[in-house]
Amino acid sequence: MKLGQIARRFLIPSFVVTGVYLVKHRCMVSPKAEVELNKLISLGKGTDISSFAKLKANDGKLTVGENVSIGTCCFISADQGGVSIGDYSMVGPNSSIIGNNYRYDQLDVPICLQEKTSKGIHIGENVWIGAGTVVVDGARIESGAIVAPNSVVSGRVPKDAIVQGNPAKVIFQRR
Amino acid sequence: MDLNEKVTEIVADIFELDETEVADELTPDMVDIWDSLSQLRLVTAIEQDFDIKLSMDEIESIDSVGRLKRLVAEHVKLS
Repeated sequence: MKLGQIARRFLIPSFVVTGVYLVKHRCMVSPKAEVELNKLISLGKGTDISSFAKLKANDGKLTVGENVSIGTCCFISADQGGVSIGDYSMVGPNSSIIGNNYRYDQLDVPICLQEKTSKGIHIGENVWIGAGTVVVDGARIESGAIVAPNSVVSGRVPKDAIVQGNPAKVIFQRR
Repeated sequence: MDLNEKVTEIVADIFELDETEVADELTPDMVDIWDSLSQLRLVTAIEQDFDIKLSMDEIESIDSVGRLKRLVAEHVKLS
């Protein structure tokens, strides 16, 4: 971890982070959420980040649109491929959106020491992600889709579809 | 297989019931796993099988197997 990153993460009080995001981005980050001040993280106007949520961006952009709601205890991590969440989307509590993977092709090297990969995650506008959902790297959720609680999304969710399960499958098309 | 038998078969399959348990009077309250999401799975299965499309109002009005059968019959007649 770079020195600047350590400073941003541990030395800046949370109420300062809340204040900066409120003034600069006009969005509400709970003082109990963990969102570092980072040029890679962009939050849209009117967006709400609930308490105990953690948003991090290491080598790629984390772009959250306007009027997005991120529930309590959510974990969102962006890497090289980036993570984007469209306007008016909702992410239910305890959901994870993880924009990276580890390689595991070397049996003699611990997985955590192997190379990281990141295709990125795209979540469209007006998407509703139910509580406890896991969205893994490479997933693409098109606008208007609904993900039922506790689903695992790894592929593409069509526009206006309702998906459920692990792996999440289309159970209904909104009309 | 007639329309009623086919609907019964699909309902039994979605809600993991025996076909003998599926009566017209069967309502969501009587089936543990008949929730809003499984109702949508049921509708999708019915629509695919009968090649019909129900409106959201019709879907929301399904409060029993009998009501579902009547809706399917109306749509099959129309098509």
